[in-house]
Amino acid sequence: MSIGAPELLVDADVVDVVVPAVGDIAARSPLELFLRRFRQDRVAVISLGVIGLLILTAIFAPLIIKVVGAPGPNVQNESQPTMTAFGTPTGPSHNALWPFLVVLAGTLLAMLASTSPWARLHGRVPRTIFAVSVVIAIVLAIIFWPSAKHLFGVDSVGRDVFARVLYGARVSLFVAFVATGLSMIVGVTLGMVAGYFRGPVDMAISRVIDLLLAFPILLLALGLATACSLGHGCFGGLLKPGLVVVIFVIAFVNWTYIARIVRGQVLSLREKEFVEAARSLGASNSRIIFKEILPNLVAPIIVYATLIIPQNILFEAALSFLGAGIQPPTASWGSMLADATTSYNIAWWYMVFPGAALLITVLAFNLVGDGLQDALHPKSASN
Amino acid sequence: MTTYIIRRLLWVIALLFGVSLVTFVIFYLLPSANPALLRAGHQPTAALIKAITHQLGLDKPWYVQYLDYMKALVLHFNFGYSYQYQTPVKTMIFSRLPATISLALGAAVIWLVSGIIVGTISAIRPRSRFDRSMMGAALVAISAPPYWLGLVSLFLFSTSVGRFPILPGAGSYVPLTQNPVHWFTGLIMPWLVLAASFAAIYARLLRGNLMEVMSEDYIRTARAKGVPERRVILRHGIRSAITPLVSAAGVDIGVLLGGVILVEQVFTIPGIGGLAYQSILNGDLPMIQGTVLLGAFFIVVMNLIVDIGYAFIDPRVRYS
Amino acid sequence: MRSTIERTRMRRLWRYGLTVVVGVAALAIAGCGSSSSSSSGSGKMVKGGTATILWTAGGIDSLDPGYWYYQDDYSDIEQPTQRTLYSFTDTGTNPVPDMASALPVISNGGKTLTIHIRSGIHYSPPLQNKTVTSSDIKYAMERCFLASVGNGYAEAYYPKIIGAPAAPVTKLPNVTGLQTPNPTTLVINTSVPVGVLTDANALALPCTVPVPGYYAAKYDSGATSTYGEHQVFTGPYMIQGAGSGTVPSSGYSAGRIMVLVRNPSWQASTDPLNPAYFNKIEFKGEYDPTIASRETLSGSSMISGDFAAPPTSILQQGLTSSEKSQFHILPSGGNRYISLNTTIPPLNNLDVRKAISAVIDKNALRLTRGGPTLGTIATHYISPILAGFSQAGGDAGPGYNFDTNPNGDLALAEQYMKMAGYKTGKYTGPALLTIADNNAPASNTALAVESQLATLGFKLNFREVPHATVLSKFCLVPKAKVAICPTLGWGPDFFDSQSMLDPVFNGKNIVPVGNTNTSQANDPTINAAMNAAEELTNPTARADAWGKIDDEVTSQAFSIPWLWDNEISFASKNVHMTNWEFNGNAADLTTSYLTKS
Repeated sequence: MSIGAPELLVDADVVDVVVPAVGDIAARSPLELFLRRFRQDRVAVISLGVIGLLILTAIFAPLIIKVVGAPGPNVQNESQPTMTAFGTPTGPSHNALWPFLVVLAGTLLAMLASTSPWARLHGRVPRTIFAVSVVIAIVLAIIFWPSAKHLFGVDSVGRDVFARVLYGARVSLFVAFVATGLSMIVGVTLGMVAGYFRGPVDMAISRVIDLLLAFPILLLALGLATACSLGHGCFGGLLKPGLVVVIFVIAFVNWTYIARIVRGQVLSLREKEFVEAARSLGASNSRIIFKEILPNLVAPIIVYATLIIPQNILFEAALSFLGAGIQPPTASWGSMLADATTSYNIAWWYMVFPGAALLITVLAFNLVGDGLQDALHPKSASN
Repeated sequence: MTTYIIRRLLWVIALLFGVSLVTFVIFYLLPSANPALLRAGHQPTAALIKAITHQLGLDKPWYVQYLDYMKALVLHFNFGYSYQYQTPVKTMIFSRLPATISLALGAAVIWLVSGIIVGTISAIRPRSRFDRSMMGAALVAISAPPYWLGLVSLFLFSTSVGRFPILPGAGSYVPLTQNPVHWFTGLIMPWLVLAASFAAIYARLLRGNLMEVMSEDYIRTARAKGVPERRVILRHGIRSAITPLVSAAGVDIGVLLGGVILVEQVFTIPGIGGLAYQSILNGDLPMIQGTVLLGAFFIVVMNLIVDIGYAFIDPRVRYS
Repeated sequence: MRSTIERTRMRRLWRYGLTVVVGVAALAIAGCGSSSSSSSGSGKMVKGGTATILWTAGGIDSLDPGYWYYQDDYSDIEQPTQRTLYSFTDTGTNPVPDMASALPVISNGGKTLTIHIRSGIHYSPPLQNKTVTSSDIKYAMERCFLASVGNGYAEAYYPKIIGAPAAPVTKLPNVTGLQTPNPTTLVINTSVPVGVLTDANALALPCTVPVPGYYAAKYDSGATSTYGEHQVFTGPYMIQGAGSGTVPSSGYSAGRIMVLVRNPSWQASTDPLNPAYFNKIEFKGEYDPTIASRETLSGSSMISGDFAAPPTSILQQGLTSSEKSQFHILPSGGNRYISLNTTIPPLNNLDVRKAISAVIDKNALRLTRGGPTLGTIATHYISPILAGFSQAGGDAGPGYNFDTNPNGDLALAEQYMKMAGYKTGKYTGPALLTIADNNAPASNTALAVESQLATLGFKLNFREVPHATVLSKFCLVPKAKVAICPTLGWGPDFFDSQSMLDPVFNGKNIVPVGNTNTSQANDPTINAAMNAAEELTNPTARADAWGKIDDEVTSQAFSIPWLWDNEISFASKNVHMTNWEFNGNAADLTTSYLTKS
């Protein structure tokens, strides 16, 4: 899991453990400090905003589609003019291209302007250029709105790509959040149990983790997903093909990493004085685990979660790309990319748009993750 | 030291046994296709399928089948016979291995070199324009799905269907022994696509480590002693900062050698990844076993090498 | 890439789902069975040269002649390297002698066939000193009953030969009905007259490729036969390097490469059917269909390979440019249909099936595969190049009102639903399990079917699964209780309609695994008619009988036929490509040649 977060791979001493020290003359609580540092990181804040926007888009997708006037994500229209006589799809309406081109041109112009020495004197110029281009784009969009029927074109059975990209956001975000949450619950629990109780329990759990980590992950996930995607699902129909299977599979291959990390943390934490103190006061095991150790795990857990969510978005997309993920006709960015592989040479739009959507989403999460890391561990500044 | 190595080796063997058992159970209990039907091919009668099932030993209980398989594997190095390709599994795997190795190792060279260079420069000049743009590009490279990058680059640069045809595209892999020049040009695009996200990760990793190391006391001492800056960076800085990279590289290469499914799919490179993927789709159990075991083998062995390397460097590890 | 690895399975049901067998008579001349086309390569004929074919879907199935059955097996290895007792000319619809020297002599009321075999035909090295004898053909046919060979049609066409085993066996059977009174005579005795044997159609299948028992027995004795890797060849070509007795990996590697060179033992004087112009034929595998198509069209000396059809983008680019002359669009003889499981309610109700048939927009389905180039809209099962086509109504079909509107008729469909008891004209009830192939374009066709059925209120439990699984785990397994299989198709084994209808609609063919009668049609009258028609030996009588059966089967709406497929093959500019109608109009490598302008 090397994605550039070395401090998480260190089993021993955790820097910056947020210890609720007694009698500390703290001007600000650690939480406030953390929030303050995070707020100062503008890129992270903007990314958080983008994520919020994505979540809203996903939730309100049907409404947006109705407002825009696009057909639903599964409405097939095999007649012309959306399809040619050979059944190949047609591209985005030309009018819809203008707003994007304008914004792109404005961004490039602004970037160019910001690098020139003249801009240093007139600091506002790049920002103004960008803002103006956005305004022009919005005006154009409003003017051309009624005729921009298929904003992103149609796919090979005539479905609107714009609608499917929006609905794909639902799938990606839902799967990523739920699967991550599930793997966290399982991983944290097992990691804590293994780290705290040690002995045979630890050995058993660690061996299982080692065994699972020896598998090539994508193959394991593919195998499970394919096997469970047939007919009535597996485990007696408990795991229905589609969303449920994908979530289960992603959670299944993910829990081992967080379990290992948590186990490492717990191993070192249980030797600390405050734990000894609690034990000597007669606290039960469960009390120690939940009241003393768990709060100190919150920081690495949160950081890990923000790193893992974008990985899981990509993972679900990869599974769908290989045909083992979300079942059609549900829209998923990965399966849209898979459809695009047969005709990307003439139909670039349903390769570009889902891919760009994936890129933006994952990038936003990665930036937020970076910002969180910096805010929690200011010494290991990565930005 | 020797006891440590032996202990780890035994554990590797135990792990591989475990992997084979779990794979067998998974694909036996949750089969995606009836192997006898695969072998039987076209319009088979029920009687033919029954006869083939018996002939291939598929009607025996699963643990018997597993033992038969392990016996053949351990005693005769026989991986079984593929129902899908009508060829021994071993032959198929070894004929596909060179392609995956070419892809994985070539990409590894590219990402290590570029990652180290970019990471070093960024660490030396933190928050400069180079640093910021490079780290920004790195984040983008990490966030883009590799198969999408592959598709976009094919769409733009592939000689057969691209808009600006400059590089051979999908399906242009030739083995090294057949034509080294074509082998090289055919792999440039896949290498770059595969190396992109890894280079980004390693650049960030090195940057972070190097910046931490450069703020250590002994660096300050070296500078105070008058050591030239370049030597400080190369001799003292990178040396300490690079260890996590090497271990990460070992692990990553191990994973890639087991098959780079996504990139191989997009560029139709005849490697292990595509073989494993097709065999999973077709429920070809012996081939699935073979490819998963191979992948696990590489992962575990590379981990072992990395761990032994660490044990050399840090004696404390041996006693854990 | 996942969605483009399709295999051309012309011959059988399940393969159809995969094959994007594109065929289209763009000239829309219905029932046009003529093959040969405007040759893509005009210029002087070149005797020699190397032809290259790119595989995108795994190439041939196996090296074993007893296993060959699919279009690729025929065009890529059977036709160039081996000879069968009887064969077909490029445009012929009746068997002509190949290894045999004349058509079979029928006696004993159609129950005895006497076949004379050409003498002096030598095997390829290492058996270059041995000639083909009748006992070799007997051995070849007997080994087709071995479980270790895995042949799939011996049970269908040879069971009535006296002494033929009723089920596959593990030891070589002695089929007493196959007699070899002398090395150049083979006598076949059957218990009842068998039409497909007397007209020699079933003797054109690869089970009659000679296999010398004294050489092959040791390879046939294991759990899986390895004869294929050690086979001897009788055709104009052989696998490079196989003269040592073992096929080397440089000559054949499954799915990746196959190289055919001239067979030194082959003599043109004994083989009037195969001129064999090329000196060498190379097959290279693991290609992406789009790339392979592009390279074949713009390259030289290349012929299209095993993919079902070029992707629609290539079709569009090719057919609207000067490359048009490089395409051959010919009927393949096969059909495509949507299978309805008549044992699952509400599909057991004839009116519901008629309603579904009425609502299907066949033109839209055809568009998902690439439009009119891909085939003619089907109104019954027998395809235009087979006998019995006109007897079943020809292009217009038998004329049932639920069958006649190619654009779908929602109003009529709702009427039928009301007759079935659904007051609103729309279906109300549980979702129906539907299994489709997850590869394009079959997946797109399935999606179109789903949306069309939704207009009638049908809710589908829609699953897309990998190709191998569609058939082996679902559609061919009655226990899986799949209601609708929308991506099925069927191809004829030879020019006889029995092979189009009997395996798919005869109640006696319903089996627990590998069930080709996916709709589980079991109408006693139709069954009896089919069993009687199997024994007819007069060709006209057969055509009439099977045409009538086609009509009746269509009237029951067991399934919904929607396309008579076209095969789309293409080649580089300097190739004069010919097509073999018997093999679904795939390219014929023994009669095509290179040209020099």
